[in-house]
Amino acid sequence: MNLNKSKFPPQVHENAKIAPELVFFLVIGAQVGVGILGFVRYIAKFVNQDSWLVVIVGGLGIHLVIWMMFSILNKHGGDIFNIHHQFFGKWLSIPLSMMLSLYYLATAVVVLRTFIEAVQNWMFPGLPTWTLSLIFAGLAYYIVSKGFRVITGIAFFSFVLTVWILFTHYFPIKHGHVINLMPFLDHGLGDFYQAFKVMVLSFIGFEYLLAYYPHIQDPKKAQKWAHFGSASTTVIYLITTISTLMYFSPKQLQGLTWPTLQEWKIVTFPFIERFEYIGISFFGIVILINLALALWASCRGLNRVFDIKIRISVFPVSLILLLAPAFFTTRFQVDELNNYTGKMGYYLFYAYIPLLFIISIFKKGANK
Amino acid sequence: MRFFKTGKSIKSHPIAEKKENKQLDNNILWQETGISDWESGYIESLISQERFNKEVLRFLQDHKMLSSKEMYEQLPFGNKHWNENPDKKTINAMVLQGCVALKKSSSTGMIFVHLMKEQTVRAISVPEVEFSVIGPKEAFNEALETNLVLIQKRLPTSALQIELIEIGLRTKTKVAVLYLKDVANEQNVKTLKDRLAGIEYDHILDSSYLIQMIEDNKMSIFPQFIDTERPDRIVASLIEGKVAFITQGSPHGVYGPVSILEFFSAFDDYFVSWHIASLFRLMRMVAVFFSIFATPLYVSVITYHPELIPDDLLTTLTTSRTDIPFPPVLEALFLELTIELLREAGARLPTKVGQTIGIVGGIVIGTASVEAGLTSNVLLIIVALSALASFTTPVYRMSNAIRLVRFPMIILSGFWGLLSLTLGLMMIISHLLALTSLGRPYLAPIYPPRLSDWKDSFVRLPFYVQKERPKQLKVKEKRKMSWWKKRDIDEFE
Amino acid sequence: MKKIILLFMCFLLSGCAEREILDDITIVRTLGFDKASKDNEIKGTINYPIFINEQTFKMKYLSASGETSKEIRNELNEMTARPLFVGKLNTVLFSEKLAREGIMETLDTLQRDPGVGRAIYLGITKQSAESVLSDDYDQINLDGNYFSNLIKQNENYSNLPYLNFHTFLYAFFADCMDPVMPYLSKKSNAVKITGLALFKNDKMVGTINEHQILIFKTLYQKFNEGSYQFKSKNYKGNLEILKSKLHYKIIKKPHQKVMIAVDVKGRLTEYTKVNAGDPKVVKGIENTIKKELENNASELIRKFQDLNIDPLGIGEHVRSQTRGFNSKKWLDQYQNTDIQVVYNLKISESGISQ
Repeated sequence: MNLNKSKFPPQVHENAKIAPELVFFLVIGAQVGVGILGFVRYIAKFVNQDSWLVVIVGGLGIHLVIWMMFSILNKHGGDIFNIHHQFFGKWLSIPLSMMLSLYYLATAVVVLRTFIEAVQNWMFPGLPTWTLSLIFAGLAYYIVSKGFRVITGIAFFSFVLTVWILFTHYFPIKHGHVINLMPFLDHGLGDFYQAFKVMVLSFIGFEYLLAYYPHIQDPKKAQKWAHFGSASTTVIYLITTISTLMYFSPKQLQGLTWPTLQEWKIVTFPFIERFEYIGISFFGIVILINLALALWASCRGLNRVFDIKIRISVFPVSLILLLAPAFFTTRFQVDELNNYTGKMGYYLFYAYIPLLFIISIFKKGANK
Repeated sequence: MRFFKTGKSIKSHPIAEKKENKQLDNNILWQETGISDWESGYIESLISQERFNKEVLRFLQDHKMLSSKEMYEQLPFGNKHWNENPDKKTINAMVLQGCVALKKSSSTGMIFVHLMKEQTVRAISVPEVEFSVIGPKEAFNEALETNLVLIQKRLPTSALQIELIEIGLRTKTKVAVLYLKDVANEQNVKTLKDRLAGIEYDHILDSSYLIQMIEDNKMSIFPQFIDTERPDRIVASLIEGKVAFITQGSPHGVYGPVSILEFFSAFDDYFVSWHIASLFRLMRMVAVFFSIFATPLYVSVITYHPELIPDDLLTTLTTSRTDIPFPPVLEALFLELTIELLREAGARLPTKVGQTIGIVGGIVIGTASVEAGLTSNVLLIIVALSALASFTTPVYRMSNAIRLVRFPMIILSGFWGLLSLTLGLMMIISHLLALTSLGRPYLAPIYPPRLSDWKDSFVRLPFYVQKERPKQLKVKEKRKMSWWKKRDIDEFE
Repeated sequence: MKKIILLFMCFLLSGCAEREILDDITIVRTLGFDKASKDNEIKGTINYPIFINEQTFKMKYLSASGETSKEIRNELNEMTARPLFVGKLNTVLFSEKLAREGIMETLDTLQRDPGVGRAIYLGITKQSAESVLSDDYDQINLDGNYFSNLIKQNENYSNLPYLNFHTFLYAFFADCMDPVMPYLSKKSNAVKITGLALFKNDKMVGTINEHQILIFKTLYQKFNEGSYQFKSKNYKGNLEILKSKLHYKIIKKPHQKVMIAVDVKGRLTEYTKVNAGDPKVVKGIENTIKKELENNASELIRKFQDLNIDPLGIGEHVRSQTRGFNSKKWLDQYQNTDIQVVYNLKISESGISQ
């Protein structure tokens, strides 16, 4: 085991690199996950009709974090694991990098467990948790073992195959009530802050960039695509929020676990009714890229710190992904799991990355 | 490639050595000519007896006095060889290639005159699989020489490179690798040649052997080369910058690297107007999705999500399924297998009988099974349509692959309905993403997304729009409309 | 590899989801709830098709009573050959008797069932739901879609406002809004929509008649199709509404006042004793109808205020235009709030002939 691997900037073969434009799909693919099916309820709890503002502000905050991330990475080169080594030295960098790796894995577990819960509640009541986690972990394993280019491809296809779902919001908006969005700004700052904190969970996903940065050809060009991706996510969330707020009365919304799925119940086409079943199925695609990226980032951490090949480490790591969801059985536990990950994300974005950013200002750049 | 290397051990095999030590092969007719002390040796079935008598023997008769070496120099044949002191092996090899060996019993020098009998090959005929109403109607036949002529006469440029390789330890099959020197990417050419050269297998009887041996992923059911019987298709691919090879004895040329969308373009797409061509292409792609997903969709909706069925269809679908004892999965598999059986039976029988089997079988079995209450008529329609849709794929290998993909999808849909269908779709996509053809991405213009290559993919836009060669081939000469480059081409020649 | 295949096999064997094969389920199309003879019990009636062979099927109905709807479901399940499936449920009917005592317990069970859609229709029946469901109305209700098509058709092309399960829940959970449902009544050979049933929370408290439905619709939502029968001393006729839109204006000073302005565009399709080609006459008709509409609307709102219900969601509109809205305070003063309705009627055409 070579513990010194992260001392050096990562060497990525030219063939394994991706074009900077594709970062758009990676960012949006990782951010939009199963959370979109239910996040509006959590922010509406605090700010109700002003939720859309929280989405916008949350999105802007993420842009700031992305900008800081790129400043750090552009200045010091390499990836987060190398930067840990540069900033904190060998022995301190190992636990830090491992915590990050673990966090990446945790995001995957959250997504998978939440999705399985949605499936169990809406489609197949009584379907054992492990069957779905097996098939998803298996697929994610296959994708990750094929390398980063294939993961990017999956991100691309998952965007192309699911972006049309956005248009289904036409139906709830058509039957919705604009008055539910008014009056503007009728909440205190404290409520906004609470909602903002909750909103962070939905934006989790762009931080994988810390790990795959060296896999981008000409990474400096990728920054605008990352911003663009995150902005698109914000727009998607905004549309979802507005349609949900318009369609449900506030107390009704608080009684629903999956407002978006409820909305789909009235989406009908001449050839098909009850869109929620199709919606859930297509969300399988959306969460697959979530899982694959998180799994890859986690394995990449192991690779960079302990020099374990991704092809080897992905098996035990996806085994964890397969087993972990079975430990969360009740609604309450799943909710708590989401809460904790959200908090982790919050501190990662608004405490840890700014800290790295400040250090990077004072530290001399590695290359040139 | 390692698997095919086993052929190498033949050389040191005891039986093989024994054969080498034998005097000469039994097949060789070795006799005195009766002219001076000349002896001749040849294999009767290989050489043209008439030419031997009329040309060689007469010449010998007329020039009795010449020594062996002088005789060699004066013999009026283009394809002749001189060997001062040939060993048995050389003689065998030459004679097996259709030469007549001439030797004065007094000297060791030997003359080999190439007198191969004119092969009786099939005439150039109309393409059967890739028939097109408009456009050329020449197809390759089994003779490599003819096939090369068919290509060369369409591509009279010295940039066309033809490199001959011999593959097959026993069959010694000649394979011609073709590419345009000033266009094709050298890496692609090298990959293909290396892979072909790496084959050490006893017999190569058709280009299909080679395709299967040099594919990037041999576990994949998706074909990674296109084989065609149309010389014009090969020429078009060469001009695009691809690499092709033609195998002796095979009526199919093969080219690569290819992307998945090319399997859904028929060559007559280039002969009809671009609107029609684009429409047909899109139709074929829709047909593929229909073919793969229609039956599984039916199965999953009927089995797991009856909620999805609109009110108007509900009674139609339910009545059609009344009294049917099997679950939808088995019903669908049963019907799909029936269709496959019909297809296979039709393919094995002579054309006319095959057609009858197809029609009679389809109608009789279909109506009978519906009347017997074994299958629902709605499913029968869906299965028949999806079978029909799978036949619209122009490349035979691909349409086979698509028919095969359907079965795991049907089985999957029997487990978790729609959810397993989207997962199945993702399985196919991730497999395709990992797939390459001659090292180039298989899903090329879709992913990695190259919008400029889309002009000739899902649709075929007019020729004047297609000014550039596909980017994924990484060709040397990017522009296709090379009139402004005409001078350079002339210089090259 | 072998291990993976083995794992996959055992996974296949046990991982199969629960099946609901189309022909192996009892597809409940309509559901009806009545008060049972026993106290505290409700009677549920289901209407479902049975398929006899590949061509023919028949609608059947079945009733059972119990204290909760789950109990009823179990009872019914014990009587049907195939498991009950509520995924294709299209209408739920309640008898007026039951509705006056509260129906949320029943609806809550339905709401929690992910299989039940939100675009299904609810209705109150004047007679018992069982008697409404058990008739096939001279073969009109052959496929179990009769009630839902009846309501859907009237919502889209006629005067019935857009109401379904979702709008009921929306209004039920909203702070300042009360739900309504179509009110159906069984006639000899058909079921007729005779008005709207008004609710206070989940209890039915009154009805409005079929002539008031249109007025209600104009005050409830914007829509594009409807018709209004007008009548005065000199003439009577029919106004076909082409477009109707409503605006709220809240005036806070000197005292809280709600103005509802409704823009109606329409044309006369049937009229007697007047020359509709004359602009002056049309103007006169416009004024008369406007007056009539305004009077009817005020009457309707007065009725709502007297019943202390707000099916129009006036309170919701007030909330949306008031900062720091206090719903309790609003509800307290609702009955005394000054609510004024103004119609801006515009008759654009008058049929195809002059």
